[in-house]
Amino acid sequence: MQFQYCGFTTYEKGDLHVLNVKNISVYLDDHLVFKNISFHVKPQDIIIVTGKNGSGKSTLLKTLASLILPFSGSIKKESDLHVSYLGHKNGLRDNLTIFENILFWSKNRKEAEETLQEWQLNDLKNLKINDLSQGQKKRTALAICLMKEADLYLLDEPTTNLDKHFKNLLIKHIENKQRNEKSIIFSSHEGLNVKHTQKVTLS
Amino acid sequence: MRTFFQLFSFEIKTIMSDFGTILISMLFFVICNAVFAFLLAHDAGALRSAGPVIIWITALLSLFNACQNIVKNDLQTDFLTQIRLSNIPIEQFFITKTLAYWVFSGMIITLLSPFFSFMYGLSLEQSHALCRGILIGTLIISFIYHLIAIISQKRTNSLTIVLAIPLSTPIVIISLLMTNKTSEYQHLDTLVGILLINIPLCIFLSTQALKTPLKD
Repeated sequence: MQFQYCGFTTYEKGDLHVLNVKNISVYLDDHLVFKNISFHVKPQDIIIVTGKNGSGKSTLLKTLASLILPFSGSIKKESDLHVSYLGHKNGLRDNLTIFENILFWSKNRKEAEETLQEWQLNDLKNLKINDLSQGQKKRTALAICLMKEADLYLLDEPTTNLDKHFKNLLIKHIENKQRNEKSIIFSSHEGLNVKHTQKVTLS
Repeated sequence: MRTFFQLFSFEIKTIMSDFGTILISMLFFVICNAVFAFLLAHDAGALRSAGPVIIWITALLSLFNACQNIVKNDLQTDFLTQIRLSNIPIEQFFITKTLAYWVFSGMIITLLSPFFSFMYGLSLEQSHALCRGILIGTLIISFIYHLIAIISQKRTNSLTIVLAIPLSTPIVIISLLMTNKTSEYQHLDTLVGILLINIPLCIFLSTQALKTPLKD
């Protein structure tokens, strides 16, 4: 098992770390998923986690979101770090409509309507999540995840089932978050044309 | 931060969208009681003595059926993960969800019970006592059931019910004892006491269970 860390950042701002990951190893069902992973995340960092199927990309993101406890090592976080996480499952209430789901997570009705507009979900807003295609579900989940106020965004394969237009919209959002001093970590099989990224490769 | 009302109405909407499950549970309660009342109609004494037990057992089974998806769907869709990571207090989420489910199960059962008490030939005092017992008892059991569903997470629903039955049995027995005229208020005090201890305990334990990351 190898770990490769390549930093390309040119916009370091002080020593403030959002996350400090030190030598973490994770086992799932007695199976070693990855070991001795270390890296740190600062405000404005965009980190892409890449690797083969089963290399532990999703597990790493879940560990960073504190959903899985590492077997060894440590993850230090800012004391009041707010995390917005999008996993493989979309985190939506399947039997409610797109609008009801978005409205629940939004600050107010106006924000919900703007989000619908931006992700071109207006025409679908009264459809239940169960009745949507995978791409539409992904758009809804991404819209909610990126609408939330957070310091760190963890996106697991955000481009899956998205067409080119929405991939570009996602890139725009990621770059906006970066400008607003937020950090983003996402896993991806395919490249996403985002500038100033760092790469964590799991193998 | 979302208000209690916002969370509550979101849960109500979710339950309403899967109203079939609730409807089946309530129909089960109504049909079972109607059938028993009909079968024992020839023996007024047996009807009176068995009535409260039948109402409680069918209430318990209806409650379990109505609450079977209380955690399952949120686990399957990862909605629970989103709640854990959000700034919504888990305690608030747990309380509102339990209450929303109780409104559509325990409360409806409580409202239907006087009708069946009348069919079973219970006295007015017995009927009042039974309703009070069901009102408080189903609320206690709803919290217990929700807690067990959270703790048993990826296990099957049947295991949740198997674990919930032994914890519910004392509540049912105390509630049934309330229908005895001489000791109603003594047992009512016990039930209210259990409710007051049960709610904060269930909230604390479920919050701890939801906050704890999965171990390797």
